[in-house]
Amino acid sequence: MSQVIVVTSGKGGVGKTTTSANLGTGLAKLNKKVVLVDTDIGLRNLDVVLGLENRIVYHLVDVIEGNCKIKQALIKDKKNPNLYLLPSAQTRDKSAVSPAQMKQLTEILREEFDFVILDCPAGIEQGFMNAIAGADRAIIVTTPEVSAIRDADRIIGLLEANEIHDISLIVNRIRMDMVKRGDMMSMDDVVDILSIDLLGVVPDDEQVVISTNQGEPLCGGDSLAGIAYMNICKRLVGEEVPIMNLEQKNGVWSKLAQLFKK
Amino acid sequence: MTKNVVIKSNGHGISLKLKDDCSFSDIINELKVKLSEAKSFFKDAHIVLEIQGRKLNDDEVDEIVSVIEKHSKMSVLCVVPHQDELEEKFLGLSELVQNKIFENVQKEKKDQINASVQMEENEFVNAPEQIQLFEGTLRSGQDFVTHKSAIIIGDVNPGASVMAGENVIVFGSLLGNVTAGNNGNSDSYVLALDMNPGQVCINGIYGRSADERGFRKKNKLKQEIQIARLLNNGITIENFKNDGGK
Repeated sequence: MSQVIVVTSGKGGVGKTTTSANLGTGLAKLNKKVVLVDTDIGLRNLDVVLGLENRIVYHLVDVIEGNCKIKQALIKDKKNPNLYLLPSAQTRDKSAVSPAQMKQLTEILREEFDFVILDCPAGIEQGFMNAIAGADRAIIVTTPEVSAIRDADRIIGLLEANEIHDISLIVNRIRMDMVKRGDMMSMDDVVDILSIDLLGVVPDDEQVVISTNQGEPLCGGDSLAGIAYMNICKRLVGEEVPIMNLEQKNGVWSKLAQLFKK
Repeated sequence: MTKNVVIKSNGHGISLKLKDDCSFSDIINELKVKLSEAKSFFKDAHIVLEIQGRKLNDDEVDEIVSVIEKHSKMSVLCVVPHQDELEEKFLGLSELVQNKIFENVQKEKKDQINASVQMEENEFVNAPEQIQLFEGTLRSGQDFVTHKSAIIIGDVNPGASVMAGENVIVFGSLLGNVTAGNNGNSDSYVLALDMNPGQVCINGIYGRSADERGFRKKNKLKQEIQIARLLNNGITIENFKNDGGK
């Protein structure tokens, strides 16, 4: 049974595109056939995160307007033969596509793929409405900041109003040292406010920036964020993986330092 | 041990699952035993009691409440029937709110006792029509507006707002904005299990929470229920004393 998942957040810059790219990569590594759809028309960047920007010939709007076949617009990933990207258009805007057309498109993609992952633009306007039109479930990405959480809360309300009730949460860029000091909300605080199921927690990791710039998602690698993303993918395919202990990063030196502090 | 009574805890209190095919005295006896066994488990909390599985009349509900308060340290703030029984819920809620909460609040104002008794007799006959119920989380951007009293079973998140003609009662965390007494009643109040609102407005008078450093979060374990009222032309939030019925 294939799933259509929209990755959304409301606020910009919390890591929707990075999360989409990593979930796509991770699911493909778990032998699922995945297509990533960049629905951010006019501000496309999922192709950049995946390192596929040089291969774009046709895009989402071409497909919807019938300028090409879907197969022509799909770009195969460099490393994962199971992963495809449907890039968005750079020179058009959100009004080029309607929710009904997006719904039609996801229905076609659903037959071909195990997972259709829709990378949603920031905001709650037409781009958002387009992205959620064909989705079965939503993944909310938020950072542990009040502004991101406020927007995520608003998005959950809108999703529910649009009959999407399967909503789960990824808390991105959490810093356990700050949580311990009481300067950052813990994941429990975030879950308390949003009252939805927690799908995963991704720590703030500089490797994410490096991998984004290199155009190679780190999911499945041995960095902390890579492991966290892989765990999320495993949960998506139905495995039961406990939420990872983010404090395990402490090496010998930090443990020694802690000893001396006492 | 027979299983005529099953006690479960939920977010804001406990729910009792009662069997329908046994006598009421069996239920009371079993409840007494179970509460005594678990006395240390149920701390001295204010709870919302949910009853499901069996239709009870007012006297029976009262008896259950008194058994709970006698055999444990909990005090029952309000009784709600189970979700499925929608119609009865409205009736049950309004009657019990009338008995429990409204009475308590009114009792503090002794000079108004006579008036409140009169109100109970006259106006609360039609009580269900005076309460608008909302179940679930009110999220940022969502407004709940009613000219009646509003009862929210769930949380009011930051950025959400509740506007009511009369009183507002939140069985959950209140972090959003709330307006009570829009009908011009300056005795209107706002009551919440976890009171931490952004703005409170009662009958046109605004108050806002102090500028704290750091982020506001929900505090589900809070022991003190708080009430916001209009006092000397300003909003006052104080601990709500549930001393009625004792």
